[in-house]
Amino acid sequence: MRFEVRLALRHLLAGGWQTVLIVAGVAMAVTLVIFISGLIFGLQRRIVTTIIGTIPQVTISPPEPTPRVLAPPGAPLVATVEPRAIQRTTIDQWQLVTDAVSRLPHVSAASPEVDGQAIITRGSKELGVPVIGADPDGRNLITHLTDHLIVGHYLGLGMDEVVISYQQAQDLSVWLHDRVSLTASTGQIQVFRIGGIVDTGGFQSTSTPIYITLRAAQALFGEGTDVTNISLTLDDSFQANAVADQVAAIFGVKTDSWMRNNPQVLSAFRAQSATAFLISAFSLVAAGFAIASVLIVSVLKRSREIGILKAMGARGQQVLLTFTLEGLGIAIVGAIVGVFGGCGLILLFRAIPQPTRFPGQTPDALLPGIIDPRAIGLAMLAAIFITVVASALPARQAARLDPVEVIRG
Amino acid sequence: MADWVVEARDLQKVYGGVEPLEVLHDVNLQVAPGEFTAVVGQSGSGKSTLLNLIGALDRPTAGTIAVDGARLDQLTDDELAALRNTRIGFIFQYHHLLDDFTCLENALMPLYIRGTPTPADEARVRGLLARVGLGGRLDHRPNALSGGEQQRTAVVRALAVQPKLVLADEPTGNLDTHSGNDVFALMREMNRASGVAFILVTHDERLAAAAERELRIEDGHLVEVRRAG
Repeated sequence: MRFEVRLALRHLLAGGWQTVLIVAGVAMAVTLVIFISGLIFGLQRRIVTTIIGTIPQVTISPPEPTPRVLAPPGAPLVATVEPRAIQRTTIDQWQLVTDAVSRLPHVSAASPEVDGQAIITRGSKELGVPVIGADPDGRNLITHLTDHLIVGHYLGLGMDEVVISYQQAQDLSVWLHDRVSLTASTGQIQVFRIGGIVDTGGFQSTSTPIYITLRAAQALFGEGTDVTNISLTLDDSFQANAVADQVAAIFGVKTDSWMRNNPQVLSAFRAQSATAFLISAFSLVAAGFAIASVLIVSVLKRSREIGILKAMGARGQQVLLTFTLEGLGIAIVGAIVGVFGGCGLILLFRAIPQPTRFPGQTPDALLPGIIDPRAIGLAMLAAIFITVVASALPARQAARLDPVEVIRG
Repeated sequence: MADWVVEARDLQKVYGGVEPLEVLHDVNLQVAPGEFTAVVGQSGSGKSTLLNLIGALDRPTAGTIAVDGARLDQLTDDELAALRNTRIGFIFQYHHLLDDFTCLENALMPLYIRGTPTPADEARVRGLLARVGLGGRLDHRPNALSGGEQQRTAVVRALAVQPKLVLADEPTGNLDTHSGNDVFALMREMNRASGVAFILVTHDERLAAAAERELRIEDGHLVEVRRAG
């Protein structure tokens, strides 16, 4: 074993409680970093899956018709340009567009749909609701409705079946297999059976969509074999703007992304990420100061020993390396303990359930922290870096000690 | 092999400050291999300064020193460290053992600094410790040893690297008379057995009289008091 390693190890072991305390300091900083970042990014993921996960990340709709001015270019003209009222139109060549869009980078699923508004009626109770008509297999990749089913089914939905939300079922006083009628904005009326009831977290009956098959929607809204829009889901939610712009440029269609429609969610995410970063940075820096001060005291305490070692031929570099190794040893052990602490805390808080909203619901975790290997790796590296930097000052101080001064004393 | 283990010429040491203090003046010294030299003088006369200069722990203001043929002024700090590690052994007034290491580890410390001691090195050091009566104390920490035992460990540590020269600065100054005599006798024995030169700084005239050669520092000058043979 090298002299420097032997000496550093012996110092740490001989340090006893002092070593335990300083390692605990590093461990606590790493625990805090992993726990806070795991918690904040876990909350963000929950928001993404519960709010954004149930809506398409990018929606393709027909281009808005642009009013044309009935005059040659450059002709003197006094006119007000008014956009025409939006008319329900459909996407040209939607099968081709769907195929092509599916092959774009980041697009993991594309679902052609007929969307519209309808009134759902049961006896004397009625609600105006958005209707999404889509192939359940394709749409489920976007909305993950099957994850939120309370009863019934969505995959394999029949032409005469509809999936509604738990809140809507309560408001209409219906349950599985009951019949309801849908009145489209075109005046067309069709009768459906309740095929499934979902809980997607929405409380507003009138803003939560109901789901029927594409064929049923085409018939209800009189769209023939056309579709009104194509919904996309992405492998990375935060690529929504880029993908939306790309699709609009290639296919000359109108696109929307969840990021543009929910700017307040994005800004909340940014604020949370900045908070996580700041808390992490402050705790690591605080740990760094603690380590530096403890090592400075240790160097002072051992100055006689350092002088004697230098008199016996230890070079300044060897002394520098010894104290740097001490810092490194503290950092590595502290970081490993901190990783266990941080992951343990996340798992502990994940095990505490929230109260459920209805009987039989699987309870959500109170604090849905995630264990992210990248965050753990970064926290460990940052802690080790800060500790080594913090030990540099006392180590240099030790290396510069003049043996004559020390031995004389 | 060099003719002299230590050869100092025209040494001068001045400590700076508002009023510069000249501690050593025109000091010339030659120490033969295996010679046991005692340096006496009053407190503050510059005995320890001379030892630090010869031990390459401090640099003279003027003059040159050669240890085992190596001119100290021509060596870098790292080369001086290597010289201290391989050719010089130190014994101090306070034993200066490392508290966190055992008696054996302390005696092996100069060898650890150099690298990993060979089994032969370790056997030799164990043998030396047994010879000074510490065979049964190898695993004891310094705080479990008596003052005499601590200083005997320090003597073995100084000899562990088989140096050409051992510099001892008041090695018995902190011991009772009995333990002091013990340590002195041990140094004389080691000197005779291994042929390593000793320079012993002391203000104990009785010990100085028992050395082969006695020097005195007076007013910054080094004066030969007596030389055997």
